[in-house]
Amino acid sequence: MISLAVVLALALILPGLGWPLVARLDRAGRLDGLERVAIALLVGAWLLYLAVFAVGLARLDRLSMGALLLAAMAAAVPGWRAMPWRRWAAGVGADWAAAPWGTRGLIAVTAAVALSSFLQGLAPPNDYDGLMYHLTMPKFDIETGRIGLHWGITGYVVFPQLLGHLYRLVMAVGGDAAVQCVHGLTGLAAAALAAAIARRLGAGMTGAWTAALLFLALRVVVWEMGTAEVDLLTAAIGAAVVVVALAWRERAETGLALLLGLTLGVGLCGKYNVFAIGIALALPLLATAWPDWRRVGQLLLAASVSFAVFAPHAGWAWLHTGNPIFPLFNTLFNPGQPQPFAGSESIYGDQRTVLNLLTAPWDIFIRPTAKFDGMIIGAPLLLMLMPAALLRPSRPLAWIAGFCGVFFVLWFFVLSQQVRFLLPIMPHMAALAAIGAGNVFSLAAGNRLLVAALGGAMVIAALNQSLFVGIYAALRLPPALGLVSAERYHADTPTLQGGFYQSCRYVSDNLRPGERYLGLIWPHSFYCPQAAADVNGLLQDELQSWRFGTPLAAMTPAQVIETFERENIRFVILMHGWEKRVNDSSRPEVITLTYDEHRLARHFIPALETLSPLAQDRFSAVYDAKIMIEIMKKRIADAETRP
Amino acid sequence: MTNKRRSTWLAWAVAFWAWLVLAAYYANAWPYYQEKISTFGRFLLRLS
Repeated sequence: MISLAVVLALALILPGLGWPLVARLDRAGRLDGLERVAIALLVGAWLLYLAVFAVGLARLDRLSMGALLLAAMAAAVPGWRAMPWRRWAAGVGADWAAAPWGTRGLIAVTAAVALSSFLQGLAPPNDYDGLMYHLTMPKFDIETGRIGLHWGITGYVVFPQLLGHLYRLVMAVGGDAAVQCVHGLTGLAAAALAAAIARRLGAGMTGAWTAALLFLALRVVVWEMGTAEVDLLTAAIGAAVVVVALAWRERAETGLALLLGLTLGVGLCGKYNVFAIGIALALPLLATAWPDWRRVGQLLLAASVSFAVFAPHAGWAWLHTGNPIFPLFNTLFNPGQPQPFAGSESIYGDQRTVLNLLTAPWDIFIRPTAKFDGMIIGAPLLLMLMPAALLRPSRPLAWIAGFCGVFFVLWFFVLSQQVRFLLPIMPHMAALAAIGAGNVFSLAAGNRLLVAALGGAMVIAALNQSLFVGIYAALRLPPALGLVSAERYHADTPTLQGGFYQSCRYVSDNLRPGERYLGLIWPHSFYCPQAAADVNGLLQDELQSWRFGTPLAAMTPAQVIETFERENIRFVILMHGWEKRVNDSSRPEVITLTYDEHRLARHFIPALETLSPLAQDRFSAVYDAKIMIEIMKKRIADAETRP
Repeated sequence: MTNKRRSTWLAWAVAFWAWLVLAAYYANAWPYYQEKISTFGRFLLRLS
């Protein structure tokens, strides 16, 4: 309950913190209230991130973060007092009174989907990236008492931490029960901004709510709302910068240019992929500004602000790795060192040819499990409706389509082709689809057969999509609301490679101070102790070996025993399989792991075969390392005495 | 062509596109849904 209270407090604090700055930069009021609040939430998140970063380097615990939270509350009060509450209340009341029943139903459904997805963040984390590093790094820092570097989890170690620092704050003050809801807040901001884009394209209330619902009902959004990923932040940033850019296009005010740069910089502090948003934004904006040097100058100023906002993270990364954007372009900044994640860009997606680029929009929606990384979007509502937006072309529409197009090309050729990395343009796609729906139904008005033909297709797709919304709610709301235990939830709910919940809980409950454990699991689960782990088989003096490409020494059984005793290894967690879900058959298949080549495990696996696991779950098991070593010693002794 | 007829043809084109997308989607994603349905069936059996 404390954790949820902290997140709800953040929902109030963040817009309050950001509002004065946003209002100052948008003095002429080119942005409306909805746009300002959503952008203020993002700016407020950055301000609080800076504060957690500064304080957490010295001390990260309940006392320091609690004091910081109280200070942030006090600092948010002026922002809340400056918001035009009466005007908003009157506007909302008038809109509701004027709305037809159909629109009211749409609002109710949208609110229900938003609330359901937000509350799912209360379920125990079981998402791959969250378990592997988004939550794992904050947990490591809380265990050690200050912000540091969890080298064992490899290349993710200095990823941008805008949301990570908010996760640290929530976990330090109130525990991890509601930490994922912080990400959900950014998803709500992105949905609000999808509605804002639709309004800037001429949509009325129904169109704006349709855009928000189309965004919120995307499978990737439903999934990520209840996780500690960061992609929904990139969706909010992608939408926010376009909203500010549209306002700037109309009136090239310096304040708006500064706000554009600030918002982009906030995104860079959250995920490196936002660089692609910046490039996708720069090209159409420069085309708009050229050859007006005043406008071009404002854009250069905006870019400078973005880099300044990003500077604290860049400085931190440079200090520890010599690369301000580690691990990106690492061979450039650190010649001779390896490039982390090299080759991972080809794990997902299609071959990077122009022909495949042209067919990619079709394949993403129609053949997601065969050509891309799975059922990320669900029913292809956006593909069905977006082309209809072109029935009423306009300059803002062309501009938004241009931004989305450039980002899509960058995603296809430069980024990892994971469809969730398209989230920065999904609010825009939802807005275009909502506009398209409005266009086509207005053309079809009065023709019952046509309305039935259009409506039938929409209803089938919408019902299909409601299954995804409903299934996630059915899976995650019971544990979120305390109706199902975490053990049961983890046992019954499939997740990529597993959360290793039972194994990690056993180690957490039984590892004594001074003891360590060897974790041969991937992801190295958030549920396991972090600071006491030899992650992924990296021993204490090898934690940064991956960074320098240092080969790990081969070991004899005697050396393995000596290492285990020196490091006081109490347990071994071993992963024995995983579930592959992206394949031609669209059916998951279980892959069994073997350790014949592993420098440590190949020596102790034979000893484990005579041991019963202390705890186990679907894909992992925990063994007593002390007994295992005794068995290994006995085997060595037997071998030596054998004639 | 009058505006009205043009509008009607455009709307029919969008309707055709929407059904084409939907048909192609289910043709390709059918194994995915089949697996989900059987998982749900097993879940119901376990409940019973």
